[in-house]
Amino acid sequence: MSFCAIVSRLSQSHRQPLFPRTRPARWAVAALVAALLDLATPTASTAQSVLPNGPASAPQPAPTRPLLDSVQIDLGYAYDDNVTLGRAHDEILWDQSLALDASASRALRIGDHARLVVTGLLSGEKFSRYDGLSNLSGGLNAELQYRQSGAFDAITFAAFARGWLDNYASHLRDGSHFSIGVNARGALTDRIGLSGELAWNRRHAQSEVWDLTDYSALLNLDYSLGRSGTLYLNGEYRRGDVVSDGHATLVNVSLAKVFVLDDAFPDEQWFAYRSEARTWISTVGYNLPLGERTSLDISWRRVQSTPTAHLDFDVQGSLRYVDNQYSIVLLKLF
Amino acid sequence: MALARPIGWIFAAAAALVLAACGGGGSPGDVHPGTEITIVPGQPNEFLLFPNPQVQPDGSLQTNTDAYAQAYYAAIDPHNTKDTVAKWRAANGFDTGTGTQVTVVFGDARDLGFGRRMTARQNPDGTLAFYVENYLVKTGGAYAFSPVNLEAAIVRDPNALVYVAGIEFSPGPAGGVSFAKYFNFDVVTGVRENMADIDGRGDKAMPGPCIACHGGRADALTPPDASGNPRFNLLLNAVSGARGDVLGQLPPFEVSTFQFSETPGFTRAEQEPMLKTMNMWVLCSYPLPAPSPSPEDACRRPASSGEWQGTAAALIKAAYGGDGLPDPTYVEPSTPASWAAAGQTSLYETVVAPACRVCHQLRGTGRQSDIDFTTYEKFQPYAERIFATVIDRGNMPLAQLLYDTFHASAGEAALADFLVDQGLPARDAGGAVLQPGRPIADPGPDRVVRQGATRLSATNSLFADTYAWSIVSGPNGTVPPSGASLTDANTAQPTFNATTDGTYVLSLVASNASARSAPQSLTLVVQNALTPAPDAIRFADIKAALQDGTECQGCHNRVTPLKAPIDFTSYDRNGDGGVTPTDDAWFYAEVRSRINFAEIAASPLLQKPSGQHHFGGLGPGFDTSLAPGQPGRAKYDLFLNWILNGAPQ
Repeated sequence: MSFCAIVSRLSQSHRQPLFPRTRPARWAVAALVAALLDLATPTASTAQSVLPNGPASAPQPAPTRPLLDSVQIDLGYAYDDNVTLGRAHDEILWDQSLALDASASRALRIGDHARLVVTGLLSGEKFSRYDGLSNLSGGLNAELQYRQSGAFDAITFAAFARGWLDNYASHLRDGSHFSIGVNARGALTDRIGLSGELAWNRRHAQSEVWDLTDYSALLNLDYSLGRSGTLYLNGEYRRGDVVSDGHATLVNVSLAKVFVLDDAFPDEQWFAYRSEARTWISTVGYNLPLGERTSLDISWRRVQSTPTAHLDFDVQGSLRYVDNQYSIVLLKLF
Repeated sequence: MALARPIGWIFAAAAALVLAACGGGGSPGDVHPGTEITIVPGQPNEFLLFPNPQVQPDGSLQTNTDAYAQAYYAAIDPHNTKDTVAKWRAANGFDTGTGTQVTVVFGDARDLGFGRRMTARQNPDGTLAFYVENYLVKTGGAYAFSPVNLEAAIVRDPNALVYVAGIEFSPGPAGGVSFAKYFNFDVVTGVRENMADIDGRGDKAMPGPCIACHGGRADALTPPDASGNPRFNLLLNAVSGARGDVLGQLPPFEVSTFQFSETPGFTRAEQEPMLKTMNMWVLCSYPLPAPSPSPEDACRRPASSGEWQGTAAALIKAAYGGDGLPDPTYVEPSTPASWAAAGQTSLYETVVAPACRVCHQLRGTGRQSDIDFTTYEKFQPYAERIFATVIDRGNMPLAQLLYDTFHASAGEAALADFLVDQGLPARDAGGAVLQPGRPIADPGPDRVVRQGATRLSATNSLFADTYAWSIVSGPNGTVPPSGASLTDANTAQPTFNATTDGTYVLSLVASNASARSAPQSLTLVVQNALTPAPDAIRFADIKAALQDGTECQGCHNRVTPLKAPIDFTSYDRNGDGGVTPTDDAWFYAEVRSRINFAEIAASPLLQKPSGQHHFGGLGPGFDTSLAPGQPGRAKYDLFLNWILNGAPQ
């Protein structure tokens, strides 16, 4: 799974957008890495087939265009059992959503071993029960990549910066988010790819509740099943701000750095509150190729967040929240 | 060239990312826990203060100074045996297994907004003590009750514990009759504190914020005694005879105004028995004006005519089904018969019961009880004062939370209708209820002066910083006026110079950045033969007037059974064994204490002898229905000119 995909999915609030951009971004990265390899080794290398997210699990990029190297579209459905990221039982609401994402990339050669890859992203999400969560986001990802050689075990290093503009049906969430970080990826065997990323993520919104800052560390493992697809597994640790919704209870107010009456749940009179937490995110997924340029991605993502604040009084129940997101996404590369 | 294109892309991408990182700034609905409440400049902020806070020559409010609290605790605890919460609890027998002790937790949704954990006890000797932990989860901005505060009280969240209070009903240091005493302790150290911030609007000196509502008085301290420290005032109508007995009471627990949790152990139903017990204890602290066969009154001592008559007992009894207190739970009593008979049920239910009763039922004496508002006939004559405090000054209702609630309720319109019926302009031309915070011009009371320079003052004006004075008419109504002039007419304190006797009408308009007041007129009667000259009046002149015959001294004399709170005779006030000039200094302080420099016209020293809410009625020389300078109001003019000159000793 690509870093870009994960970060773009999580950095906004640790919940939205629900849809993983796993595969399209995965393909994009594959394409970009392939292009990078092309920079490093002018002739097509067999390494391409053993790269993480390599052609075995993704369609080949389209032929070179005047401006864009690749364009991807994906359409997905997701079910989220805790869109509020609620802590207490009576603060948990579920929802389901449809998403349509598009991305386009352009790789720019800088030297024999480095290049800049710029990717434009556009994403729309429509929720079924709580329309305030529906959103449209657009952004850019710029990644400076370096690879010493085209050798099979050569590691690709990258530094990146990503920025999005977010527009929500919930006005309070409108704003932008931004990430910078570094990553590295490489192949362990001809079937196993491993990657990792460190990032600093920042979000600004109309309400300070969604003015979020966190640090993240991510590790991803891909296991290629050849023509049968790719299994992937990743784990991420985040330390920083999270947003939950719930009642104006002493526990929630005590955890909150700032809270606001959430316009995404107008019938509930619930408050969204920002608190600091340790968050573990784990994802397991399967990408099934449906042709040269199409695949289907199925994933389960589990988020567990525990506040770092210590409360000086007895609390009934746990302070942590758990969120499960199940998604199925149809990916198409042009 | 090969490099230029990628660099261009880099710059383009960077620019886009920078733009993407912009945004935010916060929404108006954002709430930051822990933030103190917002105090809006120019809006009413005189909460939990006495209407007469004893303004000193330097502008300080003596009842809100550390010295005031020091004198109070020196009076009620001279040996500091209760200067920590541990010592106070021990002195009152908490957790000793003796007496009776109960604990309740509720939300004070009406008055102060706290979640309150209150442990009350009655000792075997009948003394009472209430230990109160007050919890407030600060959420900034608005000041309001939140169920979160109640939650905090239940779990005893130390971060939300903002105020620890102790109230005891016990004899003074020298023994005798029990009276209420008020303590405030640091929430961390437990050390008794002189100042308390119980509404987020800044520190106020103890016991002021407690007794301002609990029936207490705000008399001035004495001059420094032999030790160099001022003493707390001695109220002559206090049965205890103790300094520090401020005539404060224990208010009834109006359970119907509380909020309760649904948490097992803290529901209203579970706590009603304890609350009834506490109300019965409170009832025991009330003096009994007449013998009663009811068993719940057996613990009450007979009332002196000069003190409060235990008026709030009626509320407790009515809430529990009447004499005998047969009902197990508190029910808000129906409108008293006198109010209903006056056809003022709505006024009572929307204004008096929710916004006035809590404090006013603890005020008044056996001689002069109209301020308790227990009947419409008592309430109605206070219309002008109600207009001044609620519509103009915004210092009533006394607590910010109650103030906000009142102005958001139907009571605001009901009170305005009442005031309009009384001829007071409580609504603007469009019919809207006037709100405190608008500029109010106050040129001071009409008075008589001599020819020459007279300093005027607009400093009693409200919510204003700009002033415009003018002379409207001269002697015999001449327009344009002649015979007088104004200098510094656009200042708070211009000078009026008259060269001709006669009656002059002046006008004052006060303004702030956003509004102008209605013009307020001032009538000055110039009599060059006026004696003594206004600026020559001293306390000796006032003392002579007070001691002129028996008009004042007849009642205001500690040896009479009337038990007025102040004695206008000369006696050994400082207890040094003789009547000396020092006693005159103490006398002066007592008389000055009856001047409200924040609202001069409302000074008891002027109002009482003028027949306003005064057991002695109208005194000779105080007839304010007469024009200034008339013999029938000569003493009023004398007192007024003395006050306007700063009440020099």
